[in-house]
Amino acid sequence: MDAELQEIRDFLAASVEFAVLPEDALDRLPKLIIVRYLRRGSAFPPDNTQASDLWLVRTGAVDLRNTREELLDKLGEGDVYAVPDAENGSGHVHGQVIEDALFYLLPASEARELRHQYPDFADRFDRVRRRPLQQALEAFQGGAHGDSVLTVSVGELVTRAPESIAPDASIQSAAQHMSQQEVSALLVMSGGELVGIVTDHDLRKRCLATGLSRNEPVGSIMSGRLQTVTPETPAFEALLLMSRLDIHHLPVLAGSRPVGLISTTDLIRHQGTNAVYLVRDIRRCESVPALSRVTEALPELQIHLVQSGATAFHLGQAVTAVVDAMTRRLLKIGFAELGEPPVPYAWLACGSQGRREQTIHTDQDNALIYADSAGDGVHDYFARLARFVTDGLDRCGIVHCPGDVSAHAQAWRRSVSGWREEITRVIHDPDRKACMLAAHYFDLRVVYGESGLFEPLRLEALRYARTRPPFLAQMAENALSIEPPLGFFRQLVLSQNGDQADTLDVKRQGLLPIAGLARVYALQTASSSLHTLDRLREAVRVGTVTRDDGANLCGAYEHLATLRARHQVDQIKAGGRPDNFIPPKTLSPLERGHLKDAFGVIATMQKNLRARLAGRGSL
Amino acid sequence: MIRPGPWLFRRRRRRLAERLPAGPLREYLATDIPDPGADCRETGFLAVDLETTGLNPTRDQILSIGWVAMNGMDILLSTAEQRWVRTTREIPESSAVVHRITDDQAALGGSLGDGLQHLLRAMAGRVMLAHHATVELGFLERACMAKYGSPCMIPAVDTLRLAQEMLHRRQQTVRSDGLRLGALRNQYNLPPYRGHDALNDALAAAELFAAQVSHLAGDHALPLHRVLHRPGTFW
Repeated sequence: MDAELQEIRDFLAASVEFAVLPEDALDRLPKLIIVRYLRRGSAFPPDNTQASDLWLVRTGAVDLRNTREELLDKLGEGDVYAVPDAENGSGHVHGQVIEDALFYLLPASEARELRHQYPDFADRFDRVRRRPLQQALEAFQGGAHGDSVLTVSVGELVTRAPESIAPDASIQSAAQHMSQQEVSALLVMSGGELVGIVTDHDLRKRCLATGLSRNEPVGSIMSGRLQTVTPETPAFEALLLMSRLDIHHLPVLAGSRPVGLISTTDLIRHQGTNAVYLVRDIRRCESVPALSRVTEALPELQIHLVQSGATAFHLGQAVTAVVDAMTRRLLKIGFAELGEPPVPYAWLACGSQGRREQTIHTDQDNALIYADSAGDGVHDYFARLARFVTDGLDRCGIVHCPGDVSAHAQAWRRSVSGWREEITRVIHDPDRKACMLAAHYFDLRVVYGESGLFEPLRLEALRYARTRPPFLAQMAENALSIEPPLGFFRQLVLSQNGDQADTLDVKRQGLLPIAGLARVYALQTASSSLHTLDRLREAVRVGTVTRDDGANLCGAYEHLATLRARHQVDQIKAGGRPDNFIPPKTLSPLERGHLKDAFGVIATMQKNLRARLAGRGSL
Repeated sequence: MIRPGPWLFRRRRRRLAERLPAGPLREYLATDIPDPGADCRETGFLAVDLETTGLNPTRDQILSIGWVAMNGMDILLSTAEQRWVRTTREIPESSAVVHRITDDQAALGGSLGDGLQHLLRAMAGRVMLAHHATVELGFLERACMAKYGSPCMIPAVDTLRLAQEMLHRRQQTVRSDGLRLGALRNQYNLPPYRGHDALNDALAAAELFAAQVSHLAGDHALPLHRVLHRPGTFW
């Protein structure tokens, strides 16, 4: 190939659209190109253009608008415009060159031929057929290695059938059985049914330490009411379950038949496990300074998970598990200092902790609920407890909430009847501000304490909210108040009104709008899911959104969240403080393209919701 | 001054063609030049650049020839071509530094006649386009004289002269380096190119011309004769 056309080839290969072509096709591409110059003020595309012509901007800039003169997009260097077909035209797009521009034009006949030959290339232009986000995600997470704990299922880790014993066998025979088989735990089976588990730990703690006779039945020291997993459960979820419940063994059941027993050791052998270590270390801390030292490892956890290819979903689960553990630990340390709580209570998390979507760059969003009581000093006790816990979290790097969504604020610390009144109020009189609060209330989750104080209230609120169209409408209104950007123009983020900014706030402009949509869908059907992805899947299941729309939104969410997680890892590694602000210049053209797709998905779903609102005046 | 105009130029080309034996130059001259009254956007051009060992046609040699055709203002990369010429003398170090063509590379090239033949075939029926076209015209004239014993009478557009005229018309003073290809391209928001490579420079001149026509004529027609380079001896 001529060296000069090599420059043109390189330019083509750097564009998102052409980058999917194989090397040999890229080599042939420059010879198919027509170079065109359009001065500022020219109409774009020019009159003699044909449907399917592909225009790649080499220099200069173009504004694209719809018939209502609303800005649809702004093309700069490296951006591609495919001239739509007259029939299925995308609502008449017209443009104007706003800076003298040089284009590389791939004529329609050649473009069609390429689309025909390379389906990946065709997908870049075929809005109906394309599933770019899911594909992008696969490529994005291609780093996940074959046997990492993030990709294997529990079934793959089970190496032998579980050893079992009857509940009426003696403790001594159980111990002998364990020694012979060299296992640290036995399943206790009664009539072919799993009734419990007995471990080394149980022998030590419940028999040797208490002086119980070794001739007693093993059933007297076993743990009943077991958590189990299936062979299909992802190993990572099993790991999180164990960290959350503070247990070390999980029976694996196929149907009702035990097929294995996995331990934390099995999983730790499969790496990716500092979440478990971290939770264990946190549990051992007896003071706030000790806790703050241990939690210094939290950034490491995110680095490790992101680098081993964890999805944003997994990362959120892991970080939230750690922050939950910190919260529980602080509550316990608090009880030691302030005394046991005078009445039953529950510590609640909302925001990203409530939804289990945290990353290391997070602030506190929490609340407290306690049993109705006339007792003196109850308010005062919980005020001091909340202050202690939130200050402790702050010292451990989970900073105070700048918006004061925090149990140390009186509005977020209420009795059961106080919360019932407040939640009823916001649903009943839904103005903008009430619904901003409601968005928090419906993300609340019990972290520690009596879940019986809050759960019934939550389900009651979900049922009530569903019957209140004005509330649902205002929630939708609020969810639509933040629009995603249009895309990028050069090194800037281009907003819907044409404004340009030099950083992308990936949380505010991407993740929160999706979380807002998901919450509205959940409220419409009184779904009790909390995680945005769970809410979206639920919305697909009950038919609130179509399968494709749901899949696209999930893809957009995962993509944005993964990008944020990676951005934060880069910042930590560079010795900086992690944040949610991504400068577009750090993004590859491919990443920008996928981001733009993600924004497009959000904008479309917002538009649909807005249309439904306008159509009925409610949802 | 009243000039006989392109009519005379076209008649002389026809005459020359009749006198020449069959061959590339005869074919070239026998193909009429585009209508000088036609709009540039309807005219065929061939942007050409020569890399040479110096600027003096009588003393220096052609090292490579690059070209790309334009149909109106569409630059067709499918026609882009570059030919290296085997030199008979050593390449002076001073010029090798500029265009990075070394003796070894030049030794791999074809003969000058070969390059010339391909160029003339590509240029038939088109107007040549070059930046500082007198250099190209001078070297090609000399090559044709040497090879075919005849002048070649190439109708040409010079983007440098065009730029000068446009500046004069706006009564702007010209800075000494302001007429260089790179500087002019920059003025029209064209991308920077790695210069001193025949095809590259040909393409760079073609893009510059498209920009000049666009700014000169707007959406109106621009007759070819308004931009044609007019060496005094012809018309």
